[in-house]
Amino acid sequence: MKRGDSRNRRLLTGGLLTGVAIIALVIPQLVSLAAQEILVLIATFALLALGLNVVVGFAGLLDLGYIAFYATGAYAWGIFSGAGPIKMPYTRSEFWGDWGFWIILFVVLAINMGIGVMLGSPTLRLRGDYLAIVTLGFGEIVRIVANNLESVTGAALGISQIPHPRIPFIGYHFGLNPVPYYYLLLLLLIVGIFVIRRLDHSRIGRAWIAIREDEVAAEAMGVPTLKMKLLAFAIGATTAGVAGVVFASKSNYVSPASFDVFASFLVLCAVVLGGMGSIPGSLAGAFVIVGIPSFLQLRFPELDEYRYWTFGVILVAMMIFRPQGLIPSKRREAELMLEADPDIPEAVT
Amino acid sequence: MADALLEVTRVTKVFGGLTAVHAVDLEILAGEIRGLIGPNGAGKTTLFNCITGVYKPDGGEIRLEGSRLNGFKPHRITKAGIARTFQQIRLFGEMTSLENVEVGLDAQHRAGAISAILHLRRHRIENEEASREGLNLLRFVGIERYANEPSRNLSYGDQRRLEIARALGTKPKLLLLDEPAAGMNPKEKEDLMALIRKIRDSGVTVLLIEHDMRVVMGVCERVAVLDHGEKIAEGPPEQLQKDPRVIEAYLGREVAEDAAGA
Repeated sequence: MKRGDSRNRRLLTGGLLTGVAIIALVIPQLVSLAAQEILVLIATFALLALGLNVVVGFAGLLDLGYIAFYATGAYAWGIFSGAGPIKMPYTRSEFWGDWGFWIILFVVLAINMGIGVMLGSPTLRLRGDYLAIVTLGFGEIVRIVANNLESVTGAALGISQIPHPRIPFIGYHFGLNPVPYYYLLLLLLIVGIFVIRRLDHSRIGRAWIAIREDEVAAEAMGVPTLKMKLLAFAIGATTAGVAGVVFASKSNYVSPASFDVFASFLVLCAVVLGGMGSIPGSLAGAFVIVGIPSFLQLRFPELDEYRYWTFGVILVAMMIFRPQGLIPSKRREAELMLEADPDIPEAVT
Repeated sequence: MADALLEVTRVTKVFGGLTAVHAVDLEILAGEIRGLIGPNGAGKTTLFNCITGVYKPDGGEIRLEGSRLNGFKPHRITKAGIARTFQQIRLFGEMTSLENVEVGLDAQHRAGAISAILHLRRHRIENEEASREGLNLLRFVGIERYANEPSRNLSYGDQRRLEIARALGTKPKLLLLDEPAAGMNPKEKEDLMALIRKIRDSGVTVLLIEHDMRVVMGVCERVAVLDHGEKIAEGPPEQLQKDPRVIEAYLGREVAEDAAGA
């Protein structure tokens, strides 16, 4: 009987996945321009949540400054595309041609991995609350530096006129149309999900969960904890960086205001509400956290002042009715069913 | 001695003004089951933590098969061949029993992130090996029927067994057991003693901290006694039972004198 159950379950999830994939592919053709903009926003947040889920959900490292890595990605394209105040041969769009955006997309992987390791090597020795405080500080430092380093980041005015991507050879220009960005983000999401899923199902994923569950025991079982935490951190950082590059090219403008603490918390909420340690959960979380309030705002503009109210209602309702998240990972589901204590909602950490 | 597996030489650990372990010597031979006993607070677990790298000893030397281990991180020491269990059970609660053992087995594995992402040969072989050997180890300790059960759902005795299986997964030369019989009923203790012998017979040397004298007397060939951080006696268990210093450490001086007089 059990075997039949698991097969039915697999069929069901398979069907659901196909459905979601088809909807995700077709939906931009069916909706208004404003809704297409929201879709891009959701996809961006989904990418961010996917990366943060590795850090918080898998490895159990509470990172409150995650948005800083999104910022470095966005500024990287802003600066290297030649739109920023630095005018060097290699920061001019002619130097890069149509390839600039795509090269930077890869360069940012290296940049953010470097920043992630630099920030991580001293701080990942800390545990729990201390790590949260340090990452919170890091997030603010990056924003404040961007706000003051006028010669590089354009200070509070930010960088404007950032070029949109072009596809080499065929010369297709993304321009202001949100749809190509949406498909690009979808592609990046698929790559991200593929990579992270494979890692999750390897000894690296096991090491992450072991660290989250009991770091001392993990270390005693031969898990190189610092190295594994750095890897989780670096994967989170690169994912956010890629999202940042797309964001900068889409909005053709970056400023420090986009990268405040609230943005970090928003992504964290998506991960926690979706179900920590669950890949489909973080995607669903992103949809609920940024999608629902935005669509409501689009539909009922007069209710704009209630935006944070809806957000609060979603949070409270989730804590009461589904503390394990929208789509919990299997392991977590088992744990919460066991500790059925409805009076104490699952803590964020 | 030629076949000393672990040599602990004058190891000292100080916490503030308290000397938890003071100049302890310990030599463990390959293939033996060694007991380590002493009253509460004698420094047994601290010594374990020094050997496994959780604490850095303030003095002395620890050698496994002749090579120094001082200052190594715990995961390096595990890979060098020393595995342990914990006094308070520390399993990875949300992971299944099998996954817990797989984490231990992964100590031997080398496949990196790239290999895992691209499903390269090494990753596939190692992953397959992990689940196969993981099941074997669960069978070895007798809990293979709970392979897919989250480890926190297991009974107390089974969790202790799972901790042993997980430690064995790292392929240790020396296994340190920290009070494995704590909280077990008499039947479970019997089974545990049989398991410890089976582990030794499979070629793993065992160092055992235990309060339950029946277990210690039942499986250990030699026992070292710690009191106030110092080794006060060492020898076969029957001999130690009559040793006045040991009786004094456990029961106080008067009882020891009575016993000596009687």
